[in-house]
Amino acid sequence: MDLSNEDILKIIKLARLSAANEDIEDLTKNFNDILHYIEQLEEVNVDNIEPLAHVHEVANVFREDVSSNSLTTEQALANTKERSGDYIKVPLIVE
Amino acid sequence: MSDFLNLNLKELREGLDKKDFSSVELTKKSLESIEKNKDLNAFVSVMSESALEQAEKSDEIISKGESKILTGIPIAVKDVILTKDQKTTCCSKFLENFIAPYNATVTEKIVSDGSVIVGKTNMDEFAMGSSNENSYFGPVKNPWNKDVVPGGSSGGSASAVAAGLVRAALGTDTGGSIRQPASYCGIAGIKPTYGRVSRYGVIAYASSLDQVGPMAKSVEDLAILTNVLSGKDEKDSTSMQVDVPNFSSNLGQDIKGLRVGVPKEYFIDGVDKDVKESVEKAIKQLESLGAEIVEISLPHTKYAVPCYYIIAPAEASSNLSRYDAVRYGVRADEYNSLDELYSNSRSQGFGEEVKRRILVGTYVLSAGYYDAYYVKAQKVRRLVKNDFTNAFKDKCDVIVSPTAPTTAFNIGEKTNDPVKMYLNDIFTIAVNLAGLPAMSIPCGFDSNNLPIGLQLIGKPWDEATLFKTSYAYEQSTDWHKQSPKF
Repeated sequence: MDLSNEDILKIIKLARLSAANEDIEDLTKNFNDILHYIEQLEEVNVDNIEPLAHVHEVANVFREDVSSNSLTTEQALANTKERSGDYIKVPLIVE
Repeated sequence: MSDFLNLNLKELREGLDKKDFSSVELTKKSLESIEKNKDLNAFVSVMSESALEQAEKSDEIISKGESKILTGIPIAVKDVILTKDQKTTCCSKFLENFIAPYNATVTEKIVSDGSVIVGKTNMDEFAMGSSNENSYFGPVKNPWNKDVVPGGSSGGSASAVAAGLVRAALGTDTGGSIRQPASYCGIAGIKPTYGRVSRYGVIAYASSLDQVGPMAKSVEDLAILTNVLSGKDEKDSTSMQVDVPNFSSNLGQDIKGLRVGVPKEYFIDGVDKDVKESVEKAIKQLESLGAEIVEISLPHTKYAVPCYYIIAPAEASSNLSRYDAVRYGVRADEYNSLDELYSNSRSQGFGEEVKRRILVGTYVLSAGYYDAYYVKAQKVRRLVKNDFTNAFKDKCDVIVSPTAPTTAFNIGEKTNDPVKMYLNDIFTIAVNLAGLPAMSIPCGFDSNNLPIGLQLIGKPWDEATLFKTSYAYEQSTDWHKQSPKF
C-alpha cells in the first residue's frame, strides 16, 4: 500500500516535525520505497512465535534506593537557550 | 620517535614506562597529526588543552611508577559518547553547542585507566548511516583513498585509527557501525555482546541494539580495550552481571578443532568478487591453522535488514522525542506555540536521514500499524536470533563471513537511495538483532587497493573465542601491518 502526501503530512505532525511543501514529494517517495522494502516481512510465518523486545529478556532490574549526587541547578540549566533565573522559558502553554 | 603512533598499546605502555618518550610528546605528536590531516575530517572537536593537561598528569603518574594500562596513551572518542565539560554533538545541528554535563561510563573508564582523550570523532548524525555522509559536519574521508567513504557510522574513529592519528578509538555499533567502517578502513573493531558494556551517557539511537566497542590496529589492542570497557554498571540496567575474563590471556592459543561455521546465505549474489575471494582465502587459512570448517544455515538472514529498519527507527523515534528544544539543543527563532517550538526546532536541527527514520519509526508505532509492523518485526527478530542459537548449539563455535558485501564506495554514490545504502549492513545487522559479539579484522585488498574485512561472530558472552580465533588468523597474515599512504 502506498502512502499519499497527506498521509506523510499526518506522520510529520505526529513526529513533531515540519517539512517544506517542495520536499513532500521526495519524502513520500523515499518513505514508500522503505515501506515496500520492510513489507518483505509479510512473507515470514511467525505463528506461535513470541515477540522479542530485548535479547537478554530481563525484567524489573532493581537497585537499592539510595541518594547520590546529581546535577546542580546550574549544570542542569547550562545548555538551555532561554532561561529566567532558575527556570527555563517556554511559550505560554495554558491560556 | 616520529613513528611512535605505529607502536601497539603494549609497546606504548613499555616505552612510556621506560621513559623512551613521554605522554606529552606522544600527545603532541597525535595532536600534530590530527592538525596536519584535517582534510580527512575525522575529528569534529580536538581537545588540545585538556589533552595536554592530562598528558602532564600522566607523566607524573608514570614517574611515580603508578601507571595503569592506558596511562598517558592518546585515544579518540566517537562524538555520540558524553565527555564532561566538552562538546558532544552527535554530529547533529541540534546538539551543535551541547556541552556534556557528565561523563559516560565508558569515558569514565578510559579516563580512570589513564588515557588521554585527544578529541571527538566525526560520525553519521545520531549514528544513523553507513557512510559518514550524514554528518552535520561533512563527510569523513577514507585514508586509503580520499574519494571513498570510510563507512559509518563510526567513520571518524575508523579513519583516525587507519591514518595513525591515534592508536585506538571508541565507536558504537547498532547495526554494524563499528565493524563496517573497520572493514572499509582496514582496521580491527569489535562490538561486544549486548549488555557487556555500559550505555550510560551514550546518546541513544536504538537502545535494544546499541553497544560501545573499541577500534584499533590489532586484535591484541582490542582485547586490552575490551577489558577496560566491560562490566556491569549500576547506571545502565541493561548492562549485565556476567564475568569478564581476561581477554588477552587466550591470545596465542591454537585453534585446532575449533568449529568455524560458514553461513551459506552470506555468500550470495551482490557480494563483490574480490571480497568473496579474500574471505574464502581467509577461511582456508583458518582451516590450515587447524580449524574445522562447517557449512551452516541462517535461514532468516534475508529478513534481518527489513526487520532492523522497523525496530531501529521505532526505537529511534521514541529516543529522539526527548529533543524538545527546551532543556538543551537548538531552539528555532520563530514559534507561536509550544507545538511550533518543537516542530520548527526539530525540523531545523535534524538532518534528512534522521528525519526519515523518525518518520518511519513514528509510522510503525502508530495506532493501527503497530501490530502489522512493529510486533511482526519483533517476532522476526526472535527467528533471526534462533537461527544463531541453533547454529551455535550443535554445529559451530564461531561464525565467519564478509563484514560487508563490498569495499568502500565513492562519496556521494548511494546518498539518493536509502534502501541501497541500508543493504550495506546486510551481514552485520543480524548480529545486533541477536545481541551477539562480533568483530571485523582486515583480510585483504580489492583490485583498487581498498581494504576487505572478515567478520567473526561469537556465542553470547564468548568474546574470548573471537579474540583467540582472530588473533591466530591475524598473526598468520600481514594485512594488519598495512598502512595507507596518503
